[in-house]
Amino acid sequence: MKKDTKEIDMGKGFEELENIATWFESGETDLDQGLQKFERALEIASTLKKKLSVAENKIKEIKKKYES
Amino acid sequence: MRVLQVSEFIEIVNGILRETLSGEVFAVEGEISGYRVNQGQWVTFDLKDEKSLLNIFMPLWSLNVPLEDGMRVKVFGLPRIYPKYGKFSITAERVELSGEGALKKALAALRLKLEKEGMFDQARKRSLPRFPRRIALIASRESAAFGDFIKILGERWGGLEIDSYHVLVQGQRAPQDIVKAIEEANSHSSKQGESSYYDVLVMTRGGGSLEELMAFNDERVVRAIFGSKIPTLVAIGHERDLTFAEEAADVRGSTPTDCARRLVPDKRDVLYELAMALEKIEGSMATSLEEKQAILERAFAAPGVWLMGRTVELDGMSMRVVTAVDSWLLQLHQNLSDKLRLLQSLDPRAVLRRGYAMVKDMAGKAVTSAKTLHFGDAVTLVLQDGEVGATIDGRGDKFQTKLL
Repeated sequence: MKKDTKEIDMGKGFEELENIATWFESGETDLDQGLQKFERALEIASTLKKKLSVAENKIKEIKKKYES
Repeated sequence: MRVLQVSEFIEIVNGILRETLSGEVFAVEGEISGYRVNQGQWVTFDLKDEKSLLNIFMPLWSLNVPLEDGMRVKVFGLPRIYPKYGKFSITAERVELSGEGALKKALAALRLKLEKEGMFDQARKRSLPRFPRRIALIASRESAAFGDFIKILGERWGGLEIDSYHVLVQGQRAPQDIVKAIEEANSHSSKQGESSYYDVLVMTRGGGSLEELMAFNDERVVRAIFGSKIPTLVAIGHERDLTFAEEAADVRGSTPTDCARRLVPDKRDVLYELAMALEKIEGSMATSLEEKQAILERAFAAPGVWLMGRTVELDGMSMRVVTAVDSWLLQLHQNLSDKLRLLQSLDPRAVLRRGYAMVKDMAGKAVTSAKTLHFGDAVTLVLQDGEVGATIDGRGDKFQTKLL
């Protein structure tokens, strides 16, 4: 999972999420593919969320360091 | 009988003339004709009335009014015979114009001459420093103008170094006095090694009649002012009096008081100006600081803001995917149940429930035509609640029709 966190690029992650949403909205019927995509979507979302929260903490840390 | 040599005779005549005439002040009045300046230093002209004519001779430097033919003048001086040429003439010590009209005419002529030489040219006027430190003051120490000037100066500004050059401001000697003072101030200024030892040369005098102010219309004075290396500020007489000296000066003051006002600013004005400038600087500093602070704050907050944006975007996107999946699944369900309903309507058992039977052959296939059945064939009848075996025992129109 940690490896994934590094692998998923923020911009590309958002792009992929977008594509998946569009795939579902376009009325495809392949259930297996759908399940796969849904899982992938959740994986990306959770990874990005983690990344963001790490960044948030980092920002707070840096701010604390330089605030006086 | 005495026989005299020419020189002796002239000597005696000149002696008599001198003794007879030097006891009292007299002037000879007449009209100028044949006015000439020789070698740039000797003035000669004839003084005439209706019947007679006199030769007048004088050095140019002692001439203080501009002369021209046709003017009426009073000539002061002693007559004598010039030995070398035997010519009788008056050597004039000074010349005065006769009457107001003549003086004005003379001034107009002088003005034209000085103007032509560019003495009053606006383009060459220098501006005075706003805050002068050392000044040369040419005035009569006994005059009210001197006192007024010093008093106003003290009220407006302090700390000035004033070198006072005392001069006569009217009378025959005044122009020479004034010219000397201008020259002295200039040479003193340049002797100090600094070209601007004196920041301003000030010349002032109170009001008076046109004759009393004549020293400041004197050509020599005007030229000296024009030639001064030190910037000049001249204020003569009242507002309405305008002398050539003032016109030639870099700056003109209308009165001695006005002169002081033009020389230095009022310290109250300067203090006010200073306060305003300070306020303006403080204001713009504060604004600039605020702007910088705002930029810093924004820069500091930017990562957080960006992060917030991304988080919101991610939440939105996740929500979109979940919603899309939900409605996708719902759609699949819908499709499925539609198909099921269709299938249900096609189910043959539904027909059997209404009392119909289906005939199947031995192979279990549905028999749909009477023609395929023959006498003795074994078939299966399918009814709504089960199947029974049967044998075909006849073939005919009635049977056929019934089947159909």
